[in-house]
Amino acid sequence: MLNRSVVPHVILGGLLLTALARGVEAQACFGLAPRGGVAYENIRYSVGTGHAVNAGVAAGHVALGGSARVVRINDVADGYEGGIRIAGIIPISRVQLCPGIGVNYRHDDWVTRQNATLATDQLALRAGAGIGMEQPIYKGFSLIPSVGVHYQFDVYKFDVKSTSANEITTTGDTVSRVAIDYGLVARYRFLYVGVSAARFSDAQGIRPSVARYIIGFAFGNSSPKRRED
Amino acid sequence: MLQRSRRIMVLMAIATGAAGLSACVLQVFDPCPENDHIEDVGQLDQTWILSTVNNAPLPYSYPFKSEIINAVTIDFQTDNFERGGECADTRKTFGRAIMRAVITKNGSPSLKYAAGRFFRDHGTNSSRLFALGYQLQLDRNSPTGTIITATSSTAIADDGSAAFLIDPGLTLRFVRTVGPTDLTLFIKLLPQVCTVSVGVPSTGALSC
Repeated sequence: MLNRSVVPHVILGGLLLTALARGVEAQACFGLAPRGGVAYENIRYSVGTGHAVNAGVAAGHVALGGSARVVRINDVADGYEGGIRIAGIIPISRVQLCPGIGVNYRHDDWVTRQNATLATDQLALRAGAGIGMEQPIYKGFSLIPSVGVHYQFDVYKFDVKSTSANEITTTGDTVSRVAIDYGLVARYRFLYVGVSAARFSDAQGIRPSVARYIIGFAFGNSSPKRRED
Repeated sequence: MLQRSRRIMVLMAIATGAAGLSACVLQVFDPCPENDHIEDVGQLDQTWILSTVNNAPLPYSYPFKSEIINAVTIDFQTDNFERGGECADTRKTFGRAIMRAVITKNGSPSLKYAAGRFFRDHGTNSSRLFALGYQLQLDRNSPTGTIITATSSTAIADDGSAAFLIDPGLTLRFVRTVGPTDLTLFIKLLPQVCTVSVGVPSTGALSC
C-alpha cells in the first residue's frame, strides 16, 4: 500500500537540498545544526508512521529549509507530504531567533468501508518564529534545543471516488490554528541525533500529535567553540 | 550530622525531581502510536447506518422532493489522537468522515457521496463534525447537544448530493454496525440552532 513511487522523490529532494549546502550559517531554530544539515527522520504519529528527509541551509541572515515525507496511517491510508520554509535569522548571542513563513502540502489516499476511495489534499500555510541555540557540553559534543510557534492555515479538499460509478465528488474545508514545534538534538562533530515533536496550541494533554526521531549530518565542520572565536 | 541528613534530603529531592522531569520529557516526545487501537466507547470509528428518517423506517420518501432515501451510511476513521500523560488517557480524536447515500430520484437510482473531517472531545463527551457540508456538536452525557452551524456551505458536495441532509425538519437516526450495540447517533439538521443527541433511543430527545 505504501506509495513507493514517492520514495525516489523524497531522496532526490534531500540530495538537492544537500547540494545547496554552501554558505550555511544557522539552522538551530529548526532543530538542525547551526550551520544546517540534512537528516533522516523516523516519524511516529499518534496514528501511523512515516519516513522523511529534512534539510536546511542558510546564507547570511536568511535560512531555507525543506522536508519530504511518506506517511502510512496504519491500514487505512497512505500519503506523502512536502514543505519548504524561509526564515530570517536574528542572532542574539548564542541564540538564534528566526521569524519566517512556510508552506506544506500533503496528500493521502484512504481505504474506506463505503465502496469508494477518498483522496485528501491539505495545503498548510504557516507564519511564525522559531528560536534555538547550540550549547557546547564537552569536547565537540553539544546540545541544540529549539522551539517554534506558527500560525497555520489549512485548506482541505476531499475527493470521494465511487468504485462502481467511477464518479468523483469534491468537498472542502478550512481551519486555522497555532502549531508548536519543539525538539532537542545532540551533536558530535558532523553527526547529530535527536527528537522533535509537534502539537497544536489548543491540544489537550501533554502528548504530541507527532514525534520525529532524527539522525543527520551537520553541514560545515566548525564546532561551537570555534564559532565563538 | 544534621548537615549530612539535610544534604541527603536535598539529593533525594533533586533525584525525585529529575525522575519526574525525565518522565515528563519522555511523554512530551511520545504520541503513543502503539495504542491507536484502544477501544473507546466515545470513539466514532466504524460505519453508522441510517435506520430511520423522521422516525419513519427506510426507504423514506422525501416529502418535498421527488427523492426516496433507500440507504445512508457514514464511515468515521480516526487519524489523530490527543492524549494526556497516560497513553490510554484519550482527550480528543480527529479523523475523516465519508457519507454514502443510495437514493432514488425521479425513478432512477443514484449513489451520492460526501466527505469531511471531524473531531471528538472526550473530556466533554462532545463531538463536532465538519463533515458532509455541516458542522454539528453531539453530547453523549446529556441527551441533547447543539448544532453549531447547519447551513449550506462550500463544503457541500458541488452537485448538491448532500443537500437533503440539511433540509429543515429532517431527523436522521444512525446505528453503529460494530462496537457498543446501545450506541445510536441522532442527527437532527435544521437551519437554526437545535438539538441533537447520541444515546439509546429512549433518551434521545430531539427538539429545537
